[in-house]
Amino acid sequence: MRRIFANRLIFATGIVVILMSVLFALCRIYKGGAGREGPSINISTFVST
Amino acid sequence: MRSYCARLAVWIVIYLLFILGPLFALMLGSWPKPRDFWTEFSVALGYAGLAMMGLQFGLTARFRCITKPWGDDLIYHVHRRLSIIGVALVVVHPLILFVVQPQFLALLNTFTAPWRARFAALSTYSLIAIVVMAVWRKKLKLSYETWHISHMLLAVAAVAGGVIHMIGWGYYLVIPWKRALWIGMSVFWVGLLAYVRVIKPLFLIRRPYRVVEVREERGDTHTLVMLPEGHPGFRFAPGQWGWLTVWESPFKASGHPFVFSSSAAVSDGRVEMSIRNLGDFTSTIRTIPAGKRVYLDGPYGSFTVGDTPALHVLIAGGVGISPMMSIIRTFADRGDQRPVILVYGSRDWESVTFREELEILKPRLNLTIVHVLEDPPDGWTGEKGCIATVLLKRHLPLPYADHEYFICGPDIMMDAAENILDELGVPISRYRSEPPSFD
Repeated sequence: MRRIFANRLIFATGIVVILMSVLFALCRIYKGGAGREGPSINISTFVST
Repeated sequence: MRSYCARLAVWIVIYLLFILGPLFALMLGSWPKPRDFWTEFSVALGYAGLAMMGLQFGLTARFRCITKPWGDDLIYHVHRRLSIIGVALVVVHPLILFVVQPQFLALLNTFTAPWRARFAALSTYSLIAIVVMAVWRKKLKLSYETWHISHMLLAVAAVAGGVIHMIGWGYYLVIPWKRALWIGMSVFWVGLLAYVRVIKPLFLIRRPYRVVEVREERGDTHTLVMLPEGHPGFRFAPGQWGWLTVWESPFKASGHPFVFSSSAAVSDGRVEMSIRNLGDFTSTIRTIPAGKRVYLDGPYGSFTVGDTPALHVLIAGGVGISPMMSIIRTFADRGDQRPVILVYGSRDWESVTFREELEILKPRLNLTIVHVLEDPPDGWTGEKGCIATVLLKRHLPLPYADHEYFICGPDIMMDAAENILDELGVPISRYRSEPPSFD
């Protein structure tokens, strides 16, 4: 049971990592500047969008 | 149960911070030119996958603060499962790139590819090899020693190759502090391995043990009796385990993890390990001569009894009796009269390890023994078959959720026992389960 429970949590962790990777990519393409070096950016601005 | 879940949630958040923190740190400061969604997504998977693989060094670095709350069995289980996810992320990273930008397929040609692509290939192939060798070690007929050394070398190659690939590609890591962050993390991860393999053995070399007896037990099992040489030894709790290195040097890569079977209440530092012949290294135990120098790294594990006066239910299968013997012997030596029920599954009556000693210890303890035999002799009136729900209901008093449970045996038996306890309404926080060895 502990292992089954752990398996579910591990699966959920993997999903979270993939979703956060999607978020990373979305932040980059929508807020990453139009093909130029961007300015210094506050990360919280993008996580909340 | 609530505190168990809260603690679990905290650990998962910490784990995710270690994985996602370095990834999102790439978004701090100035950014390079953005690329399409799929390219950025695949790059994020690559970074996250490498961070997951790097953290595996931490999970297996034998830090008690990591293993104690959960038990080594669960930590190694998580290590194996998370590795598969990490490797999958790393493998998906180039696959996405090959689909969205087919010109990258040319990088598969090792002879013409730039160095950064060659290191990516080295990292990816190493990771795939790690998974294949770990999952199919026995089918590939790899000895534990060969697998263990390969596992470590491939893991270092995977992390080093991955980081060199990232640096070679530049992009996010063009900025010095971001490059320093990822290099620093990688050095830290590999440093954990060096700590386990080099620094800890330096301490162990000054604390050797001497084999004083190799005792034959029932059930094709031998007990190694070891005494500390020139030092007082270590104190352990009944149910804990250690890494045994039978060689002239503790630097030998392949220590073998076994549970202690002796009483924890002895004063001379004596340690015993009862090891069943399951092939490979375990088949050589009987040949170890008395007087042989060995090294013990331990104690580890959270498979231990606390101070609770609750009924202790010990569920053992085969050589899973080893930690239970340590608990029972320790209770006997300490005059501990807490109630104990031992449910002990064996193949047949002749292979019941420690059968006679259990009967001798029984009058000194508040101990009930329930033998369960797969192949009972004629006239056997005790339990037979496998450990099942109805069997436990016959022998355990209500309410089941108030007892402390300890499960040790083959994986299949431990999974079955945990499912039975779930059926009986026993919360996860009320039982501990660990295999007799982590080979």
